[in-house]
Amino acid sequence: MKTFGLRSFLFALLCSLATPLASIGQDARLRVVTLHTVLTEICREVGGSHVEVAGLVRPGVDPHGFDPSPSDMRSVVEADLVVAAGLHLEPYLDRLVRNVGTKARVLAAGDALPPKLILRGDVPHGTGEDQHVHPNEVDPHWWHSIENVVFVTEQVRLEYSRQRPAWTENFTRQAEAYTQRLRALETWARVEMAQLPPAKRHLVTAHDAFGYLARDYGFTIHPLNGLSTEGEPNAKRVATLIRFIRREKIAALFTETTAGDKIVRNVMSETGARRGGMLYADGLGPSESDGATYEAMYRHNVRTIVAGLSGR
Amino acid sequence: MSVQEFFVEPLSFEFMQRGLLSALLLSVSGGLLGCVLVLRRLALMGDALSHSLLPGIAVAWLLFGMSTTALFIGGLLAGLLTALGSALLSRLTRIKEDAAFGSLFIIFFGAGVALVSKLPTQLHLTHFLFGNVLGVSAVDLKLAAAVSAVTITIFAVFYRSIVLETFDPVFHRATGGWGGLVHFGFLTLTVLNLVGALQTMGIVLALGLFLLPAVSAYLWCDRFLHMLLLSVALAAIGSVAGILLSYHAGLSSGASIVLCLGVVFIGSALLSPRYGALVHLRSRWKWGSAVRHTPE
Repeated sequence: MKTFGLRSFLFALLCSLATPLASIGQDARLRVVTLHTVLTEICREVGGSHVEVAGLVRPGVDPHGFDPSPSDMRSVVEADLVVAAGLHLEPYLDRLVRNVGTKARVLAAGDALPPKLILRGDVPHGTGEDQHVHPNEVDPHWWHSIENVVFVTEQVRLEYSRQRPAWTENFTRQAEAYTQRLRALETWARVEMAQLPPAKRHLVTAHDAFGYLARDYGFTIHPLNGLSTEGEPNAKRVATLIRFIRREKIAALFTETTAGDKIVRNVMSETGARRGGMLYADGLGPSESDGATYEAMYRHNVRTIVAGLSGR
Repeated sequence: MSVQEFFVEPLSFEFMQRGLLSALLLSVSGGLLGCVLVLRRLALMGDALSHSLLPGIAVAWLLFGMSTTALFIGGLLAGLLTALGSALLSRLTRIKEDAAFGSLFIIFFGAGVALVSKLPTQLHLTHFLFGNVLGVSAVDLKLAAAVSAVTITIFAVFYRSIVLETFDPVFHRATGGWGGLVHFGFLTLTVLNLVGALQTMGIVLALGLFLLPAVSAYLWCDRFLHMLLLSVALAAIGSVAGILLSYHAGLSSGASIVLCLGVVFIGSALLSPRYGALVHLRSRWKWGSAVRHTPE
């Protein structure tokens, strides 16, 4: 009964091929790949049970230097939608998507932001005589402004509804619920930040990641390094900063999860400023940390800044 | 700009004092070790070594978490394995030491990259081990001082063995010298210095201090002792000039020191009266490229 064996084998093979084919279509779960931890959360919140979200850049990782593995590439190939942070945070994005030959739609969330929400160095940088803005230098750390996260949530909802119109209502409901939580978070943050007198709103950090936060709450930022964690600081900048901290009697400096802090420590010992604590600069923290969700991360950052600078 | 503004003001900051002092300390040991490395054709050892530390750092992170001491010891062990392993390979097989070094370091680096991709974090671990000359802490300074003191002592005590082993290892062994032991000891010392320098000064400056002063000195000197002294002096001058340049011009500090050392090297390579490129070209032009025969 050789032929029968072969035939039943072929039949089984056909069946197994047909099953996934049948499930591709309007009612299959949407497969989404994200390249940033905050986006992973947004995509899960808006999608609920109808969407399968894989976050390639894991929590606690520096997104400036992400190195994808083969399984990461496979999930990009198989995805319906790839959501990236955009604004050049992922310089590898174009090559990644082009080279793996995915049919997924690519949404670069930051690039879709309206120009007035994107920060082009209009936040005052630097200290005293050295105060300046960086015109035309786009700051990719857009998620530190709640307004932007709300906008991206809407983008994700629109994209989901376009690909799976049958579930539009679910997506809208879930996006609205999430947006409401974000609005509540914003109200809370405004009240917290109001405790800080404007003269105390100076943020000294390891790298330039908090421009959006500074814009929203009227801070001046004094990063030791540029927009990426790769740069190296120079003696002039550090010296100017030390003089400024002494003169303005800035109470605390802040370290970051994804950048080294040796120079920050030196500046502290030289100025007597305290360690204000660690801020989540480049994304969410690991699941057991107090920066595991966007709201937790944002609360942590706001609390740490207010407590550190008001010298409570 | 007055003298006060140029020299004194930058050094009124503790971080500048510590940075400059550790650069000077490592100038001494780097200047000394660099000479032997250049003469033994191990000039690329520093570069190779800095890559081979990765698996050690990754394993240390896995076992002990983010502790700088653990990362330092992990890196040190990986570096020692690479250096001593390649010295051993070059003695037991027909492979020369530079090839053995090149092969082992890339294996270690590969293992490190693979390990890091499996770690639950993808932080740039090397960013946490590799320092910056502006970020030198009091502990780093002590480390630099200890490393430098050990190096100077060893050079003073074993000077004769080091000279023999550098210039004529075969003769050294034939005359009953502990050639192998001296070489292994030298490699251990170099690894210790380099890992210490990487932690205090960062990769650019550490590699620069261990190579550029020594090659520059090699272009001027015919005697080993002169070369050692000139190399240390150049390293020290480059460190002071570079850190001042960095302060006044607002350039990355490690890179400025390396650039100052680089100017010295390029200058030496062009202008050295006996071994420079210009002298060589002039004699070529004068005599032509023809082989001179006995006149007929």
